[in-house]
Amino acid sequence: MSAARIPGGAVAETPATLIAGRRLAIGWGDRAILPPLDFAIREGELWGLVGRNGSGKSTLMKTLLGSASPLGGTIDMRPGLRIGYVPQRSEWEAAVPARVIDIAAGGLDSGWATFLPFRPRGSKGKVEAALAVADAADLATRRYATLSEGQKQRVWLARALVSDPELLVLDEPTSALDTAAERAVFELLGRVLAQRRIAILIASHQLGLLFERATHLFYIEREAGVAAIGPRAEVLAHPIVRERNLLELASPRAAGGLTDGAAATGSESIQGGRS
Amino acid sequence: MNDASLFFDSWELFEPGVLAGVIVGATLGLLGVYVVLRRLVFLSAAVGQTASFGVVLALYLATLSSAWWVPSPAVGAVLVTFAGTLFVARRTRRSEVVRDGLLGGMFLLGAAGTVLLGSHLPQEMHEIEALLHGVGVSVEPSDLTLVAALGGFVLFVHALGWRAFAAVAFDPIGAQVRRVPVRVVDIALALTLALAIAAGIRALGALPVFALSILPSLAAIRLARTLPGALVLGALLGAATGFIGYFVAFLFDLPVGASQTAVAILVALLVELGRAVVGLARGREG
Repeated sequence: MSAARIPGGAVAETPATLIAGRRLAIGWGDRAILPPLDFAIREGELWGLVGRNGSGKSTLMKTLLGSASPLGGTIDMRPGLRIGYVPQRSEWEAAVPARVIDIAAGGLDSGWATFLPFRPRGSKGKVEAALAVADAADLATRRYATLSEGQKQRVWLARALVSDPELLVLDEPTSALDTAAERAVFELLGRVLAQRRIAILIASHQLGLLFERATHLFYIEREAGVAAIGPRAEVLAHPIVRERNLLELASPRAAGGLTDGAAATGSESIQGGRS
Repeated sequence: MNDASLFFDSWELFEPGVLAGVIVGATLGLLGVYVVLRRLVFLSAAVGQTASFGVVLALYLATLSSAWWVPSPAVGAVLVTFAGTLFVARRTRRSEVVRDGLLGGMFLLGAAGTVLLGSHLPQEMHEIEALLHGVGVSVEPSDLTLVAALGGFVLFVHALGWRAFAAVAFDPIGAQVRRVPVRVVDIALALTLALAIAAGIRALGALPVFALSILPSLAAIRLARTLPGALVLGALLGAATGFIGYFVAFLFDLPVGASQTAVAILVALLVELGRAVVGLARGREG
């Protein structure tokens, strides 16, 4: 957190910026697929990264996570920023023999220390705590392959939380879930957001609950060259977003603005437009 | 059928071949867990051909020049195998089509390159075959030393770094986010696979190496509850397969490589059968 003096002499705490993009160009080869992006993700914010399949969500996410290089501009991260990542379900080979506790413990394996065969003392306690936060403590000794999709998602959330991340990134976390399980995941994320001063970024092409819960949105369309970024209400009011009738997919709560207590902080500029 | 006691009475005669089978089986049984789980089961077949190409390429280069940089056949096999394994492993994370195409191309390039360059070598083809695939029954002490050194090195690296190999093999983006040195681990996995397969083919031949790199690991994955458990069990089953295959070959006067392959198949089948029986029994109890 950083302090900012406001008119009248009071000091208000501004949530710290965890990761920011400035004129960030993303794409493949040397071809940018979206207009340059400007954004800042701060503590306490829940960002939705939305767009159709093939809209550039994965490319943006990979660029933010460092597995793809930006074509231009900069990504500024808070030094030593800890990121927890929940991959798409399909990325994990279900045949890998593992218990739930093993999957969660894998989230502690970082840096060159992974070349030591044993985890440091105290790891077990951290894993159990993360499983408890993710409502998966009772699954600890179960074989991962025998779990339901909703249970698997909670295990991956525990794996991401075990390293005490400041930024939690989830790639299509609810794509294989029914409505009830999807709602449970979002309620869990809401609790995590309330308990820990972290930021969450969720990529999804399922808009309903994400539009309802997000404080901020990236809305991107590769084909139209559109990137609308900022607080949810502003993005939802963007002409392109309105033109796409996306609000029809969201709940009345989302359309009505911020009502869930997770206030948007700051304001990114709405960018893009047709290129 | 030969007398089993004769096998142990003549242990000195069989020791290098048996030990080579045990070491190669243990090494490939462990590495095979990654090969199977990353769905690269044809990797060792393709890499085997590439290793052959490496041997023939080194022999061919030796006919052109005696310069210091011309590798020995063994080093040539390791170098070409390493390059091929690294190339395929880094490009097969996403698309099964790309993976299968690359493995097919690698196999054909290795096979065609071996025949094409082999036809220009002064050695007889049977000499080259022996150099490529070893003879299994009587492993040379120098080959056993090579297999033991490489196998020991590979097992040591994987015992030490199994968490890094697991993270990069099964959750590559997560590993990158957690600052695991993904590129180093990828190269280490490719190098250890190349060393194990090249040394295995030299000592045992292509067929048992293909079998040992898949079947004991497959059985281990089906039995184990954890990844470290699967790695240890894969190594143990691989070592047992290498030994039993040799022993059965002695008892029934069979070719060693084919015998080891048959035992590997039997191990995998027995595990599947055992799982089916246990599943049925649990179903009845339930």
